[in-house]
Amino acid sequence: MNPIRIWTLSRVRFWVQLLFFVVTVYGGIVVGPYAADKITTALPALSCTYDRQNSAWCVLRPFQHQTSHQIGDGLAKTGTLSWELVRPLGWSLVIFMGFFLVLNKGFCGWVCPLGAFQEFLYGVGRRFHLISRRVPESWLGRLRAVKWVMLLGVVFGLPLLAGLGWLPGAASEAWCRICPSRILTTLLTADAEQMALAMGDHGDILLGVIGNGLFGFMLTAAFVVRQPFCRICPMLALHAIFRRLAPLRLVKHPSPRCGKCRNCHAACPMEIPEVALPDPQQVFHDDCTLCGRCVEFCPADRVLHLRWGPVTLYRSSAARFRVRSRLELADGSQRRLHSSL
Amino acid sequence: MVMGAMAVIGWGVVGLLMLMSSVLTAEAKASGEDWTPYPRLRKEVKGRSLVRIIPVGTTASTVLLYPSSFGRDPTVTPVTLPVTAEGAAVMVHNGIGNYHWIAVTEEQEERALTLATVHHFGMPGPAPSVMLAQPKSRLEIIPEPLPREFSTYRAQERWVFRVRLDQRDLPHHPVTLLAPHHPKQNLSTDPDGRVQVTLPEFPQAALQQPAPGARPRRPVQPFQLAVEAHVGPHHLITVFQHEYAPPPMTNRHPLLGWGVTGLGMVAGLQLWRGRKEQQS
Repeated sequence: MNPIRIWTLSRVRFWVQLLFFVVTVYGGIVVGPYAADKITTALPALSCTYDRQNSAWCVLRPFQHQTSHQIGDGLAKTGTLSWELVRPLGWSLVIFMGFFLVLNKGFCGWVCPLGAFQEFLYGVGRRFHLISRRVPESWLGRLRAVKWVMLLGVVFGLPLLAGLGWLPGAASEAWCRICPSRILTTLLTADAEQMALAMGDHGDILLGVIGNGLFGFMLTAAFVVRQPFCRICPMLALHAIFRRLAPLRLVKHPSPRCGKCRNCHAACPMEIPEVALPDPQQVFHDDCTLCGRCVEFCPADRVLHLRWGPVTLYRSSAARFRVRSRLELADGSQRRLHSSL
Repeated sequence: MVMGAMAVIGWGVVGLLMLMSSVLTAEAKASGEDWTPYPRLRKEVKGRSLVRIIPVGTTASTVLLYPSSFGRDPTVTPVTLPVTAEGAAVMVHNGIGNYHWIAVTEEQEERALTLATVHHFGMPGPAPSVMLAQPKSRLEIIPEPLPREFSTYRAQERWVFRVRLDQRDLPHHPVTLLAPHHPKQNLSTDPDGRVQVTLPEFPQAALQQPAPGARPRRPVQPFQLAVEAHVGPHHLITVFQHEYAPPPMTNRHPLLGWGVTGLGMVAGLQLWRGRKEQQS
């Protein structure tokens, strides 16, 4: 067997994603009850907290609860914002940062089960030669803004308003109500409860319709669009805020060819045009998930690097590119039916 | 004549009293107030790190708290908390959250009653498996496992509990399940000392819609699992109390959920159109 086929970065990442997918969705079967406490408490978002068998800890849930029940309620009662009200939120952030400092945005590209699921679907789409749609660059600005709206508006804003009593109680965990991971991970453990529409008050129904609709859309869109949900995920925005603080990052030493072949842009699952620009400051973008595909598909030596602090983990190479592009095109299309995903 | 009238009035009063008594008893049964012959624990959550435990029907003056790290950290020992008029204030131990075991013990001559429950403090902490396995009384009921943080016991679900006497599994031993609005259920442990408990149906009367604008709260009902054993002259009674919620699909519409998801899928399928043009 050709060793290159086994050891391409994408192939390694595929197995890492698969491993984390199994651990986060079915880990409870292996480690028994309390999987969250045993393996995943320190991880920012793994199997959804709604998953009754394997439930883990997703930082977005305490963010909402603390914003609503602690800060919103406290503000409504006392009228002042004190350190006591904000402190639990700070602790949740500290726990998130503990893991973040190791992986940075690599969480999205290597660990997140929802991200992996969408990539698997896109891979299936390539196998069956479905159309591949790219988001027009003229839309990118508006689309990129959505993840910030999700983080600031849905994860923090709506729960705060619910805590203050200005919105129905369902808004106190508005993000969880619309997050596709809640439906996906529970369905994968043969629990259809989250798929059923909550029929409480108007807020319940509205958020349920948005959540189920978004999940359905993601399921079919992911065959032809890369990472459709990741583009608007608040976790992407949360990671983007702190991305300069963690040692793992994408680094560019531009060559005169940069911006010409645009292979890196074509390879990027998040379709970030800035990665092809000669400006090294823009390469590690808000939307980057540190998947490393741009590095793999860069045809020049030592231009793009995946680095953890001073250590280069992987760098672009003309020789690797030649072998890699024999198996797959930069946009994910397969050259041969049995080549890697 | 007068005597006869007085007798009639007397019997009438007695009858009226009996009638009132039976009405009051029926009301108490309907509201589930007399659902257990054992003492109870009332829990008032006062915040993220504080819960007030109010023992009802017992003269116990202290509450024992077993933190989540009990058994893992040798320096962690049970904490004795006084019961005041407002109950016992139970705080998260050293800021380490997760499940804490809370027990009340009442000893009268040869009779020893232990009433226990658990409370989840919403901060990270070690898995409760070690804490649960530690011996805490002679006769024990140990949940295997406990529901997760955002979950709870639910009606008609089956859960396993382990019964131990002096740290040894107690096979083929009677266990009683008690819950408001339900007759008591007599169960028995298996040869390994485990008992499978199917929680009863959730009473319709306890299903309340939250007031408009109010934060949705899961309706819950208490239940107790009780076991008794005679060891020599000692009569040991252990009661585990917790709460259970309605079954999963309560207030949910599966068909509508699948339908809305289907509509989302159809919307996503629109992106598949134009396949041939683009591929060419």
